[in-house]
Amino acid sequence: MMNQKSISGKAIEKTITSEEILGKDVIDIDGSNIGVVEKVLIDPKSLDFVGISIDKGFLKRGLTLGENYIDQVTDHAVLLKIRVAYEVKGKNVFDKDGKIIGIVTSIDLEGEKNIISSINVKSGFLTVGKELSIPAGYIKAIGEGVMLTIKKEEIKKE
Amino acid sequence: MNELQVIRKEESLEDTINISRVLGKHAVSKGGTIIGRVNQIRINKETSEIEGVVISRGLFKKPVYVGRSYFDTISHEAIILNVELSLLLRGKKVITLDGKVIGSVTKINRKGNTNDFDSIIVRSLWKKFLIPKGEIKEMSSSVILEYKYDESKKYLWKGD
Repeated sequence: MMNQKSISGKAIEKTITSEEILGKDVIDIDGSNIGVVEKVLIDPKSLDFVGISIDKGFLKRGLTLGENYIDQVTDHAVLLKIRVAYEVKGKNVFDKDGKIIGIVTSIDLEGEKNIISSINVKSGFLTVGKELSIPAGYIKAIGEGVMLTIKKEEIKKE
Repeated sequence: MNELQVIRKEESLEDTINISRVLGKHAVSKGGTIIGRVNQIRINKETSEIEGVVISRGLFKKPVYVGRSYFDTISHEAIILNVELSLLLRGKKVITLDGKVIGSVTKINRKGNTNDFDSIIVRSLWKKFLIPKGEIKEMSSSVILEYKYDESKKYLWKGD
């Protein structure tokens, strides 16, 4: 790139190319590997960089992330500023007493933001069972699992 | 405390826990990691208070003793701890500040018998690093360091 002539009218030395982003690992703020960059998204009118599309692997639905959630692009990876809300899917959910209620089958977000409004949890063998919708307000912590501030019996009453 | 009663219903003891019902139940960390199952409940011989529990972690892993200062909740369903066990860092990937995976944790140098630790030992295929705790930025799904990785010189250096 340094050997090329430039007619950009702008300093382009500090820019990166799409080739330098594509295929890189995407790592969230917790260090989880979310997937690899599949596409770079550009606004057709303003030509601004608006985000990336992430390939999460075989049989998994991809994910699109806005540029405001990207912390930095380094030589090794694309680092995010956030924990991706969708990564909660598949985690065990524990009630206030530590009882496993089930696993998160889907989540509802606030619009298209990375904010959970509720999680949907299925209990029972092979997740064949009743689905509970738990508002985000009852979530105490999210780590390897999801810890709630409420007992299972109380959820059913809600 | 000086109580003696004939029990007609177990509800009359609802402020207490039936220890036999806790045995075999899950021990869960603060963030929802299942550590194992409660194998023993240890009681102080003099004060009769619960001192801690022994958690069995399966066939090939050694059991862990956890003192009661690390308990958050005890119920008939599980014991929830108020910490993430540093022992569980073993095997986690270690990532530099700029996203380079430098290896995985092979050893945790703990401070005596507490959950706190001084440093971790990280191994890659070719190298071994000793990383002091103060140079760890985040411990969650992976361990994230305060360092960057210089690809050309192959060493870690402090981030900006």
